[in-house]
Amino acid sequence: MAGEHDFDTIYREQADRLFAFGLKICGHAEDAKDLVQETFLNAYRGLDGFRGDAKMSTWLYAIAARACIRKRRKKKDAPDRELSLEEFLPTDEGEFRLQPVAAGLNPEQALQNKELKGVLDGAIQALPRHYRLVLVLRDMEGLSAREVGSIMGLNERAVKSRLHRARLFVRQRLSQKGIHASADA
Amino acid sequence: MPRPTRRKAVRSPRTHRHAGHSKAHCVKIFRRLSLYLDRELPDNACEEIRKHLHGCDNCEVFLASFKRTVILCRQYPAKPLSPTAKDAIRAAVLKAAGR
Repeated sequence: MAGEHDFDTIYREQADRLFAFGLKICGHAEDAKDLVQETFLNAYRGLDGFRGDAKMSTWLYAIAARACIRKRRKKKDAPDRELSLEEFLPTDEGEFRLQPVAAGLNPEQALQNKELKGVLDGAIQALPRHYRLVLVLRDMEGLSAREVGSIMGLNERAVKSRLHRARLFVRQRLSQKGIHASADA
Repeated sequence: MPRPTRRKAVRSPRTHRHAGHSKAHCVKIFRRLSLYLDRELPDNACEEIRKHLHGCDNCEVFLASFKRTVILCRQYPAKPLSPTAKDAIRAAVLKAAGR
């Protein structure tokens, strides 16, 4: 069994990271806290099996991602749908030229805009879960495609394909809302 | 006879560049935008995309909004756990683990 000191060190260093990940995946703080708890309980029980091949954070993300997928199965919701590239291909000039995201603001300012952040959160939550996991791990948590692949049990090519579709999905959602943010919004 | 004045070519914002390419070429670029942004394409493929973007307003504008979407995701602020919640979760984990 893992020593309490080891666990405390890992918990202190990684809990915020796992909570931020959970918040992006689950969308609600209470669900994210549940995910942190489940992840660290599983990590505590399995710490002796951690071989150090991957970074500790990657190992924890993998435990958390498995917990997410398990929860999804328990709920017995409809299976996640696949996203096809064709549904994001602009069909007319207007769709090509939609500028969704608070033009004129730098990203930091834009993310302080409540409307935009709400739409972005909604777009991420609307993604089918296996696309959401890839987008969050790769673009929001900054893992490499190889690391995401090892967590999700996918090859790099599949990770990149899912990531591209997830990004297109989010862009389309943001565009459809037609946000016009101002700096003081 | 007055000499005809040559009209200066002014491109309005709604006039688009299409340097002799087909829509299929736009679709080909569209499929590879993430690889292009992530710098995962070989130099010759990047050059092909740059040339296309230079000649195609639609794709250039689409890429700008796509890139901005990716940047917003990358810069999305992380919210930390409150100290109270952090302590409560630690205690719950240790209790469940039988310590």
